[in-house]
Amino acid sequence: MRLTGKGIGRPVVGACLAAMLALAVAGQPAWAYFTSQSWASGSLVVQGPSTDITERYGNATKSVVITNDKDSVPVYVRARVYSTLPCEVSGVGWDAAEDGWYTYGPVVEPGSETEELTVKISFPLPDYDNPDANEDGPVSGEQHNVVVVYEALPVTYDADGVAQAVSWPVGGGA
Amino acid sequence: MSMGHRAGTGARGSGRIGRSRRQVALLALAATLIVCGTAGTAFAIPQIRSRFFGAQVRLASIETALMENGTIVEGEDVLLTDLTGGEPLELGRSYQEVLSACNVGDIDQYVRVSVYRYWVRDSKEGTAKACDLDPSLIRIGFVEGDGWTIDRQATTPERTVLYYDRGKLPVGAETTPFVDSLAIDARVATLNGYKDARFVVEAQVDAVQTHNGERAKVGAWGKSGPNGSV
Repeated sequence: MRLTGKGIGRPVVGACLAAMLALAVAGQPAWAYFTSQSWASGSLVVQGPSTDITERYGNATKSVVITNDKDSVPVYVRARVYSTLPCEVSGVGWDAAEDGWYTYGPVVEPGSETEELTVKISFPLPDYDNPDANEDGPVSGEQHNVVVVYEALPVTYDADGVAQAVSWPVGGGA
Repeated sequence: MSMGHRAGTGARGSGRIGRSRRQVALLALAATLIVCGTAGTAFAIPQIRSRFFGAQVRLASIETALMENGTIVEGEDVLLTDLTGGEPLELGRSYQEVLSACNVGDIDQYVRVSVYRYWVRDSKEGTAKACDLDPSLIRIGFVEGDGWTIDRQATTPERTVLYYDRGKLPVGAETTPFVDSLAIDARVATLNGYKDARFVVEAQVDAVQTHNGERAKVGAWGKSGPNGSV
């Protein structure tokens, strides 16, 4: 078949017209001639807790207080002490848990703070009668750290808005 | 002079004559048409006129609206404005949030809704969708079985599509609620990444005319219902 000349284009044109006709017959007409749409959106921030810790040290005693900012949300608080020296930890409202954390019982509302958590550091005296017992003991001039870390967890509620008991993550944080 | 030459000359000569006759004929036809056209108008003299009869045709209007807690809302950042009453959002608590659709047009309509939920983060560079946060933690209380059916095939963790299954929605009528509550899962408190994130809820109502309704629904929405034909 030649590819030039006006007679050669007719089969192609005819095929295109036939295809268009078939599509026109098989295609669906536009039945949805009246439609309407309405749309709206909204958003809210999941506010996280904003807390801070303050400490005082004196007389081999470290005292810490955790404060919940006034723009924060109600939180549960717990703290943990890491020390290379023997310590005695205590505080009103603070309960010792088995995993080494001290949990503050009451909910700390925005703008309020916990009671003091007191860490009393003890410096054991050397045993002059048993020098071997002092191998791991503190040495004069040596530096030691007493670190207090804390976690604040937003209070959660059930469907009716009743505050639920705190459920701390397993393992705890740093 | 040969016969072929003479014949060839004669053929050329008859050709010229034929063309000129055709041209004359076409000119005559054109002139006739012109004369008939202009002459005809000369006889169109108004003899009598009737009163002027006017008619006005107004197309029916289809219009649908989204309602939140009984109030029509439309646009960006208009939903959830009073969800917590101005208090901080309490994780886990179920807040009342009633969404429905209303026919505010002139004709009956078929209705479906699409509800979207997702997390975003705001930063100095702008707002970006947080694809790493789970949209299912935005717990929307869909009301199924009371006038609405969820299209499970079209539903994803982010989008839920519901069809109004009580047939036509008459003019001025309001549907039953398709959402009645909203809560943020309490697990958000212990999961990473959700602090100061923002959750977004979007609702879109689609309506189509009831005339040739089944075909209209397929044409507009791709299907006539949650289990309908495509």
